[in-house]
Amino acid sequence: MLRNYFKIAWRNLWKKKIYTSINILGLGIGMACCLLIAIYVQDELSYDKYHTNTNRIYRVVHAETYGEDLKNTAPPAPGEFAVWGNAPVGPALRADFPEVEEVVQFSGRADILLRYGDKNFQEEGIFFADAAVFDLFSWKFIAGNPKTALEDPYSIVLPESTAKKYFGEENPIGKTLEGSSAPGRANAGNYRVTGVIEDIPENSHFNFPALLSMNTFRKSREDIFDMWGYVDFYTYLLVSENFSIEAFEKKIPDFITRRRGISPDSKYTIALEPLSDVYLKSEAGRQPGDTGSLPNIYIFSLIGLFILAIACINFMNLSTARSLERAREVGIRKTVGAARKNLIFQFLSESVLIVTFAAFLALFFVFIALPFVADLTEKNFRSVDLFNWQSALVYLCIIFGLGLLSGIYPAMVLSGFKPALILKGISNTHTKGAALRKGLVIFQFSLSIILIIGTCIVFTQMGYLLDKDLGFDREQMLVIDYNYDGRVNNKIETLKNTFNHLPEISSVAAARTVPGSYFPNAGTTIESQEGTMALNVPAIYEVDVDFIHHFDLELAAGRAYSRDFPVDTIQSLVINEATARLYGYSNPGDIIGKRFQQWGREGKVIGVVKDFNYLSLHQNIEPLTLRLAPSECRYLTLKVTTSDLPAAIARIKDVWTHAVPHRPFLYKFLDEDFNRQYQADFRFRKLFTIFSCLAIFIACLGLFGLASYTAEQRTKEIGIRKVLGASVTNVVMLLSKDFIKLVVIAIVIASPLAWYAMTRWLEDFAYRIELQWWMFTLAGIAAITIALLTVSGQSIKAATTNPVKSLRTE
Amino acid sequence: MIKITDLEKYYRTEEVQTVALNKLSFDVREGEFVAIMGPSGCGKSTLLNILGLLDDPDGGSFIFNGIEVSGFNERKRANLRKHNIGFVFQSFNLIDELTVYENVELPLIYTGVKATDRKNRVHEVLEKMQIMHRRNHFPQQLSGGQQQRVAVARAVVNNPKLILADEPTGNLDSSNGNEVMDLLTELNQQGTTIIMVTHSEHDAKFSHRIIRMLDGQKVTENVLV
Ligand SMILES: Nc1ncnc2c1ncn2[C@@H]1O[C@H](COP(=O)(O)OP(=O)(O)O)[C@@H](O)[C@H]1O
Ligand SMILES: [Mg+2]
Repeated sequence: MLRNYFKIAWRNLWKKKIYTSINILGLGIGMACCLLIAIYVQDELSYDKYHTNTNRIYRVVHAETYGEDLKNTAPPAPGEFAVWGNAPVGPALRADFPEVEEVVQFSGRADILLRYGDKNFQEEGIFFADAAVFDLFSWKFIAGNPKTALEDPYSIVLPESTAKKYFGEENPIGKTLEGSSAPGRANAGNYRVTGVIEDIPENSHFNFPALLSMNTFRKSREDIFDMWGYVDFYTYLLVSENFSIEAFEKKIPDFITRRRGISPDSKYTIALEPLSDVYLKSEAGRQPGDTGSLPNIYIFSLIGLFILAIACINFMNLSTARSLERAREVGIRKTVGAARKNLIFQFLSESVLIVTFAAFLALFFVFIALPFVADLTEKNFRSVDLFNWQSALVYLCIIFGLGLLSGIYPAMVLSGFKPALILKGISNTHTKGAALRKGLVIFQFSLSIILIIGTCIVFTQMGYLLDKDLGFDREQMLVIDYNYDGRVNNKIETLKNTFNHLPEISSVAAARTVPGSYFPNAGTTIESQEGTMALNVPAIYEVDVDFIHHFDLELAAGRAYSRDFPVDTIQSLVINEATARLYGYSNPGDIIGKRFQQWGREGKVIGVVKDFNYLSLHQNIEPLTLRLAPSECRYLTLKVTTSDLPAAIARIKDVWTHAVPHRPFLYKFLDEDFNRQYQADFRFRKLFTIFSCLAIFIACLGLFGLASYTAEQRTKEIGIRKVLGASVTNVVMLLSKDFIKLVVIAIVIASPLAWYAMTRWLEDFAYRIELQWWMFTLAGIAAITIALLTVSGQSIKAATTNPVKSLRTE
Repeated sequence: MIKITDLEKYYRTEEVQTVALNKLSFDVREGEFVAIMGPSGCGKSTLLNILGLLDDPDGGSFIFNGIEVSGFNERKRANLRKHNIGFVFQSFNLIDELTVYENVELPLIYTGVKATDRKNRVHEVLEKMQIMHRRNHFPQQLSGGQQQRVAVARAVVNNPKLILADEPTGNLDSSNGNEVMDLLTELNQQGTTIIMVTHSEHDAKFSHRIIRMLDGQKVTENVLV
């Protein structure tokens, strides 16, 4: 019986090639999208799960409030915590709580110049780590002893790829890497390689090119390890099997009071995050690595389902639209003895067959697309992972699940036909499914239009991010990273002079931070309007005297640093408007001349710069202080005025290597570097656009199929109309009108939904576009145009057929 | 074998209600060959559909093999139908996507006959209808007469007790028509009850009894043998 079903299913599919290919193509693309999205989502969900102890590892997050915020007694919101915190909290937790079995702390990210022989690279994002690190994290050792590798000062453990980079095929163990200083953490020194580990898996919430022993740090700055106010550590705990986070969190306030004490100026607390949550769910700031986005996972999962739903609807619609064709067969089968369940089974086996073909096509698509998707998402997807028995099981489930899902409705409809009616040739069946079919088309197009509107808005917002005036000059700014190199800082003024004399360069400034790069926060006390001293912890940019002019920052009050005021070198401070507000000055002019203390420096506030977007546009402009500290600088920024960038870069490199030959010439462009913060957003835009296009494409496939059937069914009517004098345009209008009506209804349904969804999406940006009616109109016009193009081909074909021919078919 | 009493059937469309069968009563004994005649639209096909359990009457009683079947649900009707009744239609009603062999095999599949038995039985019937050589052709590749022979083969493959034929010769020329009538007569002689709707007095002469209808009612009944 089954063979008979598949045989007739096969012949049916073969006979109706257009119908079959629409279904298989649509379902194939839909399933491929779903599979790709599933692979992506699964990867996102797999972060940090590979450690043996994943479920027993927690991370400490810290929150500290100052100044005005102290009056707020509510516990800090998740976003107010930071992962980066002090050192003493770790050992204290270990000592006070038996359920904390082990503590491992990291310090980073440090950018260090490493040299072996003539191999010399600046390694970015190195971490110092406690010796017990490998007891917590299951990073596999290739060589060396995990227990002792990070015990001694100046020991270094390398992931395989870093080891290869320096040592090639040599055995790295016992060899020495010459390391530059890590400012604030370790002096320059020779690091002995004590271990080589496998490369850190991609699905880790942070990654590094090397681990240095924490004792290296301790050797240079022992004092920091007792300072509760010094922020430079990431703390991870290994807890006992029966650990309860709720019970533990109740003990935190006592612990803080006992260990850190209570300060009138600030309020400090900690919380724990389970390791398995940190990649996707942590909202804390100052993460050691990139984090994922849970909303994006939801969005893409939803899009995947949308696309699949659209493809399934095509199948349902085309099957029921064809019901007239199949009705006779149903009638005959019933008269020769088929029960309804036989027919349901038959139609289901047809849909399972179609879905099976589609599944193979989907696998093929995924196989082709995977490298591109891997590239796009910067993930390590491999096609071989698609083919194993677990996946085979999943595919089987999908095939049967989808086959049933999309087949059951047509099967019910078709099998329900009354044989007596059908065999007489009387049939009102095509009117029965029509309303539902229209509903489903509206549903499909609503989903597609939501995606079109979404794409339109995502594009506008991203364009806005790139074009918005940030309040500082970021065009043609070449940034040289010399990583705090003292020998460079010693001769920075001469270097600046030399560069300033190049015709291609209009201005030069040095700074510890440029917009888009790392900055610390600094405890800063400023005299309030009442004359008391108030403590807050604003961000700090350490800059040289030219920075403010160089970046074209506007002054809201006071003056910028100047060589004409020697006092500036140790007794002046420039802040931004947000800082003025933070200390209670709504008028920036009023804070000029007020006393300040910051990092051992005392003096007066001399200027307020207008707020500029030094953070990504996801965030509001936070309080920022610009401290004059030319010897703390890391970056040299050059404003290049020529359009011949390669030549300018060559010139600059020439000057650089001549002046500081020991320092590799590492440069980037400020705008590109700043926009790197939007990498995730750009990735989102790309994926979103691709999936939207696919969704619309599949929906149009379905529409095309429906249009062909309608045209076919109405051949006779069209013939009569033409004989009576209807023009081709009349007929095309007649046939297209119905479909366009559906699309218009879909626009009406989709617009408010899209409006709601995109408003939510935009909330993630502190600076965002206003939703405007033209975006919806544009998307609507696009949808109608696409639908019209899809339908009109079929309509025109039907309309231009010779009526004599079509009338003869009856 | 069949006893219908006061059988009624209406068709309702939006405005009009058509009476297709109006208190129709008659009996058919086992082994009889009955012809039903009447002008177009008088309710012959409707009657045949009800007798064939394809449709349900709106009133009256229909006793089939001693069982009252009016009011049976679709599942029960289908079950009774597949074991007892074969159909032959004016327009053949073969499934275009299936070969001759597969079309004839279909009723056996639905009654759950084993594959080897099916093969034997189908071959036997195809031989008898003399279309064995065409068994792998599709219906569209056959002449009308051949198609109707396939349809008859399909109707008898299950050895039904009753064959219902709705104008079986209506689409055939006279020689092909006569062939089909000969087949039916032969089947009847082997014991199968046959009820046949026809417009042709010539064909009706093959039967034992002619029931004439008008507007859903029986007008006369003449016994021929
Ligand atoms: N499905 C139907 N809907 C409405 N009226 C029908 C339907 N089938 C048959 N009729 C009407 O019932 C009457 C009897 O039809 P039918 O049994 O087909 O007649 P015959 O086969 O004798 O030509 C006719 O008037 C016909 O129009
Ligand atoms: Mg009729």
